[in-house]
Amino acid sequence: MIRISSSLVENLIQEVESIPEETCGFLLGKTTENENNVLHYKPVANVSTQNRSKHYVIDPKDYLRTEAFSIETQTALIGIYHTHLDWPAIPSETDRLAAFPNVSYVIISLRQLRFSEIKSWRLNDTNQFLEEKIHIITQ
Amino acid sequence: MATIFIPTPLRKFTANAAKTEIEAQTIKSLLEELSIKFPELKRYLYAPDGKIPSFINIFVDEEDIRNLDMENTQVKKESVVSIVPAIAGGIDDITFTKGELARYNRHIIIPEFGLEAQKKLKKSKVLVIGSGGLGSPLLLYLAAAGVGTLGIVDFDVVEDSNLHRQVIFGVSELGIPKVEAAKKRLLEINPYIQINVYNERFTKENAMRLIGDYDLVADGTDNFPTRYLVNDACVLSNKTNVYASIYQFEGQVSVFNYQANGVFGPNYRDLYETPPPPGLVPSCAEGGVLGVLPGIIGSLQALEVLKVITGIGEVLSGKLYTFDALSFQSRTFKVGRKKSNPLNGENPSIKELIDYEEFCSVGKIESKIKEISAEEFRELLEKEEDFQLIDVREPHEFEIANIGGELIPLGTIISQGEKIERDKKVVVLCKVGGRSEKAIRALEEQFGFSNLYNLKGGIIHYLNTFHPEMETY
Repeated sequence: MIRISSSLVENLIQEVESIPEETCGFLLGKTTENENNVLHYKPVANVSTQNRSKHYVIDPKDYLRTEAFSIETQTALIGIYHTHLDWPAIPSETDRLAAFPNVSYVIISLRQLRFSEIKSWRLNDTNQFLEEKIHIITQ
Repeated sequence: MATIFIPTPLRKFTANAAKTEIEAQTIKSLLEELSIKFPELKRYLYAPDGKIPSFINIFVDEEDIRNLDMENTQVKKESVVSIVPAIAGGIDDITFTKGELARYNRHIIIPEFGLEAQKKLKKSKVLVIGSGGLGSPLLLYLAAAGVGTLGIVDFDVVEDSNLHRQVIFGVSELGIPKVEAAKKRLLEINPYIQINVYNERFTKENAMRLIGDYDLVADGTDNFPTRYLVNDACVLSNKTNVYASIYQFEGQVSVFNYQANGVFGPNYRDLYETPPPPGLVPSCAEGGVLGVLPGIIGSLQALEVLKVITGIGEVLSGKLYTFDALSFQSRTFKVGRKKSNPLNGENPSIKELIDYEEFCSVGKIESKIKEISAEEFRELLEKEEDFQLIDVREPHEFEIANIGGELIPLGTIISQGEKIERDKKVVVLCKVGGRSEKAIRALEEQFGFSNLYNLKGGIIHYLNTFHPEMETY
């Protein structure tokens, strides 16, 4: 399960709704045994050289900077988010084949650039994505 | 000692360590040392060809080794070597031509189905094992529906007696390998799909390789050894097995090893842990089948394949559907996972594929019966040695083809036991050798005969070998 505040989700959604291509970034926060509390999100550029409305690639240097940032701020890299344009918030086979264990993959689905749904997924031991609950906390 | 940075997703394999130190001159030796230190990391550091996989980037300080000397990049003592996962993804690029959109229009306009389900079909790869009675409707509907890649495994050729139920074939294809004939017909229906054919028996040697290239398997086989083989290979490779079988007037369908929310549903061994005694359940060739039945059951099987692929509706997992064509009764039984399942129960004992022929004849408490080959039988005829020939088939079969045996159908063999001679050789025959084996066992058990010989391969094999001009069925 991941926990995230409603204000953070609202900001994130507002931001991704303004970008007419797949956008991506990292989710950082504090982790306990059963819970991952997202405290920040960190947008990064989509550097895919293919059709960017259907693909995203994160620059490895952005990845490294984010890991460095998480060490600096003593937070954990909880997950990676990306948008699906006019496609459900379900991981595609492309997503699955490129996925790593031990991190959450949060997908935000936009329909005509309007928020439609948000879901979070994690790989299991047989490399299948399992949905995990997103608990949105209202302050 | 160089410092290695382990990224978050891979720390699971380094006991949560973010950094480790290794003495190495080059990236190549550094990776070798690293995978000795943390063996579970190995599959993320090496592709099957032994190179660095495309989903991993390696940086020495600030520079990607792809811009340096790759594996031969030098590592200094003060270097920081970072392993960086390539984070990427997106929507699968499934697009349709105008022709395809027009073709699949009646699917696409169903609100619950739509273009998304059609894309899933196009992206899917289904392996159909057996292209006979069940395989025919299964393949026809899967191809027509737009399943992007279909694999067909069958080693048989088209025979005339297939055509009353195997509606994918026609008279002009008699004698042609089934997979070839099927491929031609399917591409005639849908030229937008890919068809891979395997004109070979599905065996424990090729099973894992064949299944490995597909997302799911549809089992249209007609015998127990292959059915257990398909089941076990699917469970061992985490693939869904859409199962169906038919016998005379009855059919059954289920979806095995279906993964939902990370849990696998029951499989064939939860339903039938061990096969029935050999000979108890005859195949279609032995017991016969009403031609339209595989059409009904194979279509239901195709439906379940489409549901598994598209995620629409409730999949027939954990349930066994049965249909009785005579009473038109259908029933759905619940099937649960069993603790005793040797594949994935509490104490799994099967970790790789076994010998299924042997497995399916285990439990055969009876001793081996005596057999006579078609060649030996021919010699016996030529020698004019005195012997008795008993034909245990049905009268209508006898009418089509017989070799002068005494007709005593299997069902009446015990009541007519006194007709069987005791003081000379008695050869018992049926169509392909299954019923005659049963007859011999029954006679031996009931009356203690010891002079009975089973004609191997039955009358069909004998006629095909020595009298190809004679009519068979």
